[in-house]
Amino acid sequence: MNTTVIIISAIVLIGILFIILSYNKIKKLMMNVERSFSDLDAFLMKRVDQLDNLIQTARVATDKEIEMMENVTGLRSGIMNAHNMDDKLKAHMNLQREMPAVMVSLERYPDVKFNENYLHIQRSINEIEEQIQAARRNFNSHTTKYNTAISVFPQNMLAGMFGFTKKPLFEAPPEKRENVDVKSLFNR
Amino acid sequence: MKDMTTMDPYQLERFSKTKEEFDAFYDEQLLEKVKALDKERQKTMQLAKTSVIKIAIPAIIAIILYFFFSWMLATIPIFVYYGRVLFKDVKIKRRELEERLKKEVVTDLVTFMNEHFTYKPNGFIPSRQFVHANIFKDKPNRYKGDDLISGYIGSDSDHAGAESPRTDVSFSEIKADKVTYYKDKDGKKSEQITTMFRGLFFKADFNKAFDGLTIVIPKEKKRSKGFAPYSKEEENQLEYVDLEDMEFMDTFDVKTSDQVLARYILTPNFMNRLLEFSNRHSEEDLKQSIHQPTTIKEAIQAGFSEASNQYSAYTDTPYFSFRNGTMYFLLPTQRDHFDFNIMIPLNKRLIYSYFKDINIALEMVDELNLNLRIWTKQ
Repeated sequence: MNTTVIIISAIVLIGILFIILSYNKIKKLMMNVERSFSDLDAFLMKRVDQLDNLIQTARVATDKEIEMMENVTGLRSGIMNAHNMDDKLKAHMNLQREMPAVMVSLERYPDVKFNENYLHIQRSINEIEEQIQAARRNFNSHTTKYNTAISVFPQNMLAGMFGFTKKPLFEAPPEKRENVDVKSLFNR
Repeated sequence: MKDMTTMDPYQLERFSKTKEEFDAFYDEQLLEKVKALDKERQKTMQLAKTSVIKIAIPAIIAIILYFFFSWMLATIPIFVYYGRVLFKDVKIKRRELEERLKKEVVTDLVTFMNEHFTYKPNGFIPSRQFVHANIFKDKPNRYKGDDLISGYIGSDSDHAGAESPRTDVSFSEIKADKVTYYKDKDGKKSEQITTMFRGLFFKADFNKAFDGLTIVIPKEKKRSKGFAPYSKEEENQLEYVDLEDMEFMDTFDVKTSDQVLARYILTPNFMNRLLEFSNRHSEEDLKQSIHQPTTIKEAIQAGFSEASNQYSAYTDTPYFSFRNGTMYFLLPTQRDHFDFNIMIPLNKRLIYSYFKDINIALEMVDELNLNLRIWTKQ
């Protein structure tokens, strides 16, 4: 009788211990994902700000209305109105997809191309783009670890119990996967 | 390994020199100087041989006499003094020859490699920079070096007359030791010397501005024995970075103060370049070390080379450190550089080994795109 109670208690204890340890592990991984998203989000917002600066500079330089600006304003408000991680990622991805077209459109204006301030902001955007890539890789690395942890047995059962769900990766659009010839952008 | 030429979208000006360029420069500018110096070396060598004979004959007589007269033992100090007097001239001539070699040949070679470089035979990168690179666990308490080359790599202006990007670079030979003192069984004070690093130490301006520290060090199995790279305290401050490039991660361990910073510096493209650069330098020197002598004379000279570590292989993978906008590159060659041995002929092969050492700095800027300035850093 006693032995049975001890064995059952031991099994229950091990089970509880497993649940606590697994829960903490998943929770830590999730917090890493959230922290890496905050880093990424800060750089993404910096890009939005610099894009605003770039457009303002272009407006001053040309003294004309710039094409495609309606698109940019729409994308920007999409980002501002997004409140959770998934929506923010989607909104930033939309902006990222449009970025090359915006840059090309701005450079059609000769007054803009040679503006000193514009070139400086463009350098800043190059830098932010690299920082975003770094933060994106960091975010994806943490997200992959988290997604793997909640997908494997027996942690997948625990994830179901406590409502841990898979997080989306922040994928680079196809053009970002290539080496961007930034120098040619300068020379254009 | 990927072909770097097809991967470079920037097409920056290249500063490293080719073997053909070296050959042309050597034949035109250095050949006569090196020949003249080698003649001097042979004369000094002859003087050394004569000195050996002058001391060997009376020494042999003294040894024979020792069997009959034990008081001959008392003549040892006389022989030591006589030997010192005889070899004093050889020593002075050897030093003069070395100074001339550095002044007349190495200085010319350095200027040929890059007109913005200056050469200080007795200078070296200070130990505070070595400590600042933050690669090793302990601070060295015996630190020495020589052959400091410093300056910048880049053109004064581009074709349009605008100021071109330039990268500040300095490097020197370094030997950093950790000396620990202890008392042996008899209470006698002894010291144990652990060489932390011996080789070439490069410091270069990195092309991106950043604050923080990221270290790229060889995997544990590939590191030098006898020391650990970081202290316990730093272990807590720095985190391991798990990067996507499997080949890179098989060769190096990466630790950083900031995960995003590590990835900002180590982009997929830069990791490829760093790996390629690191592998190529290990392979090249290995090739040099397995050069087989074809004649008896060459074999004897190779023996002397071996003894002086003149052409020995790099034993370890390089170390890299990126700290607050500066890149440090440590190539543990375990040998002397820009040195010469009186028994080894002064010839093109020796000067070519000097050329290759200097060319590493130029290749580093070329291959790692350190002169690329598309970000806010000017």
